[in-house]
Amino acid sequence: MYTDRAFFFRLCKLASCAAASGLVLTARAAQAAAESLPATVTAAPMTLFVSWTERPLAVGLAVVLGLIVLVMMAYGIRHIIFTLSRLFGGQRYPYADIDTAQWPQITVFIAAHNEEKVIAGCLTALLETDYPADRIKIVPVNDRSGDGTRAIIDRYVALHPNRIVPFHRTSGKPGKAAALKDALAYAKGDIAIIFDADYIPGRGLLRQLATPFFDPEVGAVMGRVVPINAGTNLLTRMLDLERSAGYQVDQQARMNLRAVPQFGGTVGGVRLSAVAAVGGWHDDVLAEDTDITFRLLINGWKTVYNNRAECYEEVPEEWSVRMRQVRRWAKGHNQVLYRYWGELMSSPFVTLRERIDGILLLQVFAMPPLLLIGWVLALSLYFLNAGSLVALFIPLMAMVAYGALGNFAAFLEIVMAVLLDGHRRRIRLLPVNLLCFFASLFSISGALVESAVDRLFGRELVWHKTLRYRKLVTP
Amino acid sequence: MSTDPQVFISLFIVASTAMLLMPFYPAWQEWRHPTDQEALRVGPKDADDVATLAGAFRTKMVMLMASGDQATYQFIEEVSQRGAVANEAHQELPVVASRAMQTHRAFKCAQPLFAANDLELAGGAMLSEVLAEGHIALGPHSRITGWAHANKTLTLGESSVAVRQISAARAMDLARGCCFERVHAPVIQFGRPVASLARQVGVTSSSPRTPLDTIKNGQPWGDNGWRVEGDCQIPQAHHFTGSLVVTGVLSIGSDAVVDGDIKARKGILIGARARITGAVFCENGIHVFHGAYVAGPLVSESHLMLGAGAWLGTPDAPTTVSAGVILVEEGVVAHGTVWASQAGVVWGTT
Repeated sequence: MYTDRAFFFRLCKLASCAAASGLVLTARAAQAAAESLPATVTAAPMTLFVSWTERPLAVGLAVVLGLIVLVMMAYGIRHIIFTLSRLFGGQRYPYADIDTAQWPQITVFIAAHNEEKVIAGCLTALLETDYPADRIKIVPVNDRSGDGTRAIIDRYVALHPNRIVPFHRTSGKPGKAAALKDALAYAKGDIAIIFDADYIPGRGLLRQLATPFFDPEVGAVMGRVVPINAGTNLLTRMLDLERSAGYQVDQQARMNLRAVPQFGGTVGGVRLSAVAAVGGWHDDVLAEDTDITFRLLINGWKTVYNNRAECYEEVPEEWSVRMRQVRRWAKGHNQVLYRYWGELMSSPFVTLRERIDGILLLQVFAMPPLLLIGWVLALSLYFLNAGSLVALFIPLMAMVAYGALGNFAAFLEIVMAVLLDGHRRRIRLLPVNLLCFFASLFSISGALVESAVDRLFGRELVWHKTLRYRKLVTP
Repeated sequence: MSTDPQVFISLFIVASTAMLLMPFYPAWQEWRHPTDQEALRVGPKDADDVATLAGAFRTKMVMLMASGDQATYQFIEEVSQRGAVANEAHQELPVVASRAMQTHRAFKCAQPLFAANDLELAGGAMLSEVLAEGHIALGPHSRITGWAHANKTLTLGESSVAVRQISAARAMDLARGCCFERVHAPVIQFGRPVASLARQVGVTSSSPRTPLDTIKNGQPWGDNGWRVEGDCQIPQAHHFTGSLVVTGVLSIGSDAVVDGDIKARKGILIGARARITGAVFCENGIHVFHGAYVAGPLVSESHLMLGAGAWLGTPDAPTTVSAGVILVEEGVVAHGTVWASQAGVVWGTT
């Protein structure tokens, strides 16, 4: 467990070690390459149009670097388009006005594994929502908890036997996806709303999440996640900025632009018949939310985002927990990329806009390693005395630096999101977000390597639960 | 004067580093001495809902009137005699009509108005916020700039304007030429009832339809649904069961019945006397022809035209009608909420 300061020093140390090692290795490689070249070639002045035959290695590396720059630039442009759409475009959410209707039967699932600190808060909040009581069934999914979660749930069931139907899972495959897959058998009606146990839904949230399902094309809906422990420490404040950008700007812009809003696995819901139609709930994935988003998309179903369906969650308060969470997301996301990119590109149901946004979204967690490769290539070209080859990219690199440094939640998006939320002063923390970026960069890159190794040796992906920080609450 | 390049390089490095580090100073300050770290406030979404506003206003007025301090409010008779121009002392005070009130000349009131009984105002009335425990009836060319709620019925005369939200606990009548944004009542009558069409609906709804088992150019999709790439047509007097998603324009023939939810991207035409028992969604315009019936939510992301005698929801199962622009012909009846985010207009039968 790291504190902010300890983590900062550790990160600095790691980064400096990595940079020093990289420089030494690159210099050695460049020296070796230079020594192997004929004297006439090494002495020749570099031009922008140096030929492949003269310097194949340098030209090859420059081409690869150029491609990386272009890919990064695409993400930079994407972030700008999203921000502009949020600021100046039409804000699209056609379901917001539905306030009177015959509300459908829904089942609310609460994924819980050792959640004794938070489960009571979630159940209490759900019981107080304004959704018609006769149309809602609450199913706490107690997945092999070893703490007091079961006892707390049972106390609530005793108090509200007609409204809460517990699912105590004592065996089976571990992980949220597997637990939810088993619990779906308890669903009543065609709509499943899913929360994590640390979430505290507001009074009108269930209605807001249920309304889009009147639209027969909607397969999933996603609400906005708001960190409740934003002010705990520097990390939570950084994550608060990141969440703001991710939802207030990124998700809403994708909704505005009819691109691919993403189901986040919690504070959201799915149409069970749609899930069944696309092959059911998968329990062999780490990011079942991304998995279902893309399977629905490929088969013609829409995922919609409701920026006003806000719900509190806890964000990690320790860097080690955060890094583990990011690694899980990265591995899960890359798993979905590997499985569905081909189908996404060829599906007849997907529009061109969805295809472009979908593939960019799927590759988000492949970008940090790509960026690292880009840095190594740039250094290599410098030591190969081939800096002029990349002169063409220099203007683009300025933009890439901007886009890439905020890759996880672009800086422009963060600023605009925070302004839209009416929090002006916390923007001052923005430069510190570099810390998050660098930490995520190495974490995500490491996750990619782990994914490759897992695949190579056929290792099963392991689900890691995110730690909770709230004080224990009893009913 | 000698210029040592080392000096310029050093200056450049110092200036660059300073520029790079400059933003970190306020960041450091904010980190060490936080001024803005509260969680985003997730408030109730119905704070601006007419029911919430009316409830809060009712509570406030009941307390004021129970206190017996008549300096905290003013009576409608005083305002009526004084005219709309209030002096400074009266500018903020709510207005009370303690008994049934009827005026014969235009009444203008910039303050919130609480009527303990019925309120009947002559044409040209101009009100900001109104709550009546009885009926509200406003004459032609009246204007409500804020919200209004009647605990019984609410009637707006011809060419009146309700800029924001109006609601009634029992029923609402909006005469021809009325403009509205959001109206809510168990029964909303737009313009004069069209008796002949209402009879027609009753007659045709029981007439036999030909079952439609497959959709031309469509493919089964989801649970009991169909999906059509391109345009789609449900023929006249046919009966289709299931949900339907169309990427082009969906035309539903007159007297047809669709038992399910429908959605089309480019437009929906619901023929005369057709019946849709589910929801209707469109990313473009929707035209509901005369005498047609929609049971579920009717939502257009663009414009919506409701033909004479169209019927939306039922008293037992109220619904929501929502679009950017809503044009309503006379004789339309809606049960629930009709919400035009840009403008709604009641116009004559075409």
